[in-house]
Amino acid sequence: MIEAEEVSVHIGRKALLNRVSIQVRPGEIVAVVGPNGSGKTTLFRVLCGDLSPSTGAVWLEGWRLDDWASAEQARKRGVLPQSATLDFPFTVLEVAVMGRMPHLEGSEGSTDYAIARASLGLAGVGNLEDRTYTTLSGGERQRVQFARVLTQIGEHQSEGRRYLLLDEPTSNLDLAHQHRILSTARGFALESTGVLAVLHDLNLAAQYADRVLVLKEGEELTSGEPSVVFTEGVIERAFDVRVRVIPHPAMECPLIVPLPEASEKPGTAPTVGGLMSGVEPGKAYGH
Amino acid sequence: MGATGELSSGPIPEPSEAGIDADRPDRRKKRAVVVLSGLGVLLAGMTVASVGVGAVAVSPGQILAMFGERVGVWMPWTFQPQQEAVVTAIRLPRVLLNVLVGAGLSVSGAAMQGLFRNPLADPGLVGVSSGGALAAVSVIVLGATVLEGLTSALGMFTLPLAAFAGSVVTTVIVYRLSSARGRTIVATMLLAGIAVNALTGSVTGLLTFAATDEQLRNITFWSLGNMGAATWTSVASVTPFILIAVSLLVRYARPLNAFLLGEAEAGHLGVPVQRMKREIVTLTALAVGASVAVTGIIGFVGLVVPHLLRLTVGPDHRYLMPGAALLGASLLMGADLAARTVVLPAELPIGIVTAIVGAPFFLYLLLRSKQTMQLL
Repeated sequence: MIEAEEVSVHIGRKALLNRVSIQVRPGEIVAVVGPNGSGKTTLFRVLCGDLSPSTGAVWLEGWRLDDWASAEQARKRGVLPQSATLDFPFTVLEVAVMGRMPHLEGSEGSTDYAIARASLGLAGVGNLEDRTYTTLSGGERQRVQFARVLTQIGEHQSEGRRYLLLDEPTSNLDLAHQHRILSTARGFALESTGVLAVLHDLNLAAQYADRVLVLKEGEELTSGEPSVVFTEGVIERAFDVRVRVIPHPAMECPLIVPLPEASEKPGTAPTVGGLMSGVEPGKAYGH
Repeated sequence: MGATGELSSGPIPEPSEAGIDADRPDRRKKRAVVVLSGLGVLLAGMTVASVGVGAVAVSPGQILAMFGERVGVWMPWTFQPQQEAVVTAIRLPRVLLNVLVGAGLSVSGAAMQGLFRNPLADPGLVGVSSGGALAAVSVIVLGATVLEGLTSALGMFTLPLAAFAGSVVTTVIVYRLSSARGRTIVATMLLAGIAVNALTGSVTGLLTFAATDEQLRNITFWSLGNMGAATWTSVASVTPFILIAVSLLVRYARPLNAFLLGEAEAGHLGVPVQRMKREIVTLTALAVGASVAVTGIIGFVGLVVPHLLRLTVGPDHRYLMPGAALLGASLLMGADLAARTVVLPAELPIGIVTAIVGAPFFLYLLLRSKQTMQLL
C-alpha cells in the first residue's frame, strides 16, 4: 500500500497542501481530481517522493519513503510524469525498454524487449517502435512514456505488489486513447497493481476509479466511491460550475454533464462575458 | 494507430510475440559495434601517422621495428638512431598526450551533455576551463612578483598545478552555488557557470592588460592550446587523472540515458540522481582540469565529438561514451598533426586548428538539424 498521512506542503507561508491523507491499495484505482491549483500535482509529487512534505509522511508497503533505496522503489513503482521532455533521438522501443533499467545489471536481453514491446502494444503505439521519439506527436509521446512505465512494473506477477502513479495520463489523448490507457490501468489493477491517477476529466474518474479524492485549495473536499462523491453539490463546490449528475446510460456510474451558465441561453455563441466566466468562474456567479 | 486489440492481453507477452522481430533492437547495436571498431582502426592509423609524420619521417615499418626491438622481436625494417630518438623523446609523449586529452575532453563533453540534457553543453560550461585559465594566467603574469613564493616552491610544475587547482575550485564554486539542501538545480548550475565564467574571464583580461610582451605571448599560447610542451613528465602527470575520470564516466552510460528523460524520471527509474550529478561534475573537473593544466584550452572537441557520434551510433551513452574516447583521441591527433605540419618549421596552437575546423563543422550540423527538425 502507498499511504500519505496528513501531508502538508508549505512554500513560504502559502500552504499548497494541507493535511491531506490518501491510501492506494493493490488492486484498486484511486483518482485525484480538483480544479487547477488545488494541489493535485503537489500531492502527486509528494507521493512519488519528488517533494518532501513539510509535515506528515508517505509510506510505501509500511516503510517510510526515505527508508527505501531508490532502486528498490523503482522496482515497486512506476511514475508517469505529466510531460516528459526527451530531446535526444532514441527510438520508441529504446525509450520503452528504459523502463527495465531498475531490473537489470547488464544490458537488455530479448525478455526485456519482449516486455517493452508488449507494453507499447498496450499503450497503442506498438506500430511505432522503430520511429524516432523526437518526431512523434504529443499524444504519441505520452503513450510511449506510459509504455515505458508499464515496462517498468510489467513483470508484476512474479514479484509481488506494484504501483502505478499517473499524473494526468490522458491530457493529450483523443477519446479512444484516453479509454485505452485507463482500461490498461484497470487491467493492471486486476492483477493487484495499485493505481493512482490525477485526472481532469470527471467522467473518466467516475468510470474507472474505485475511489476518488476531491481536492480544493490544497485540502480534501471529500473522498470515497465515485457514485457517492460525485454529487451536484460537491462538483459545484469544487469547480464552481453548474452540473447535472445523471446515471450513465450504459455503465454503473454517474455521468456528469456541465450545464450552461445561468445567464446564457442554450445554443448561443460564447460571448466575451462567457469567455471571461471560463477564466474566472467565481465572478460569473455574482449575478 | 495500430489497432492491434491486445487491450485484454496481460502484461506478460506470449513467447511467440517476443520472437517476431527479436533482432531489430540489435540493428543499432550492430551498427554501433561496426562504428566503434572503425574508430579503433582510425585511432591506430592516426597514431601511426602522428608518430611517423614530421621533419624526421618514420615509416610504419620502422615504427614496428622500434617496438619490436624493445620487446625482443626481430622485424625486417631498419631505422636510424636519430629517428628512434625523435620518436621516443618527442613524438610518442605528444601522441599519448593527444590521446589522453582528446579522450578526456570528449567523454567529459558527452557526460555534460547528458547531465544537462542539452546537446549544446560542454565541459567549459561549469567553469572548468575559465578557472584553469585564470589560475594559469595569474602564474604567468604574477609568478615572478606576487606569487614568487609559490613559483619557487613548485618550480616547473607551478603552471599545471595552479591551472588544475583553478579548474577544480571554480567547478566547486559553481556546484555549491547551484545546490541547496542536497539538491542541485541544473538550470541554476548553467547560470552560475555563465556568471563565474564571465567573472574569471574579466579578471583574466585584467591580468592580460597588466602583462609584459613576453608574458602576453605565453598567455596567448596557453589560451589557444599548446601540445608543444608534451614530455613524458607531462604525460605521466595527466594519465592518472584522465584514466580514472574516463573509465568511471563510461560506467555512467546507463544512468545517463535515464537522465535524458529528466531528473525526476531518472530517479523513478532507480538512479541515485544527486550522487550521480556530484560524481559526474567531479570527474569532469578532474579530466578537463588535468588537460587544461598541461595543454591549455582546447575548444570545440568536447562539443563536436559527441555530436558527430550521435549522428552515427545514436544517443545511447553506452556506445556514445567509448566512441567519444576513441574519436576524440583520433581527432585531436589529427588536429595536432595539422598544427605542427602546415606552417613548418613553426607550429600553430592546436586550439586554433580545432576551432577553425570545429566551428564551421558545428554550424553545418546545426543547419542540418534545423532541416530535419530535430536536435542532434
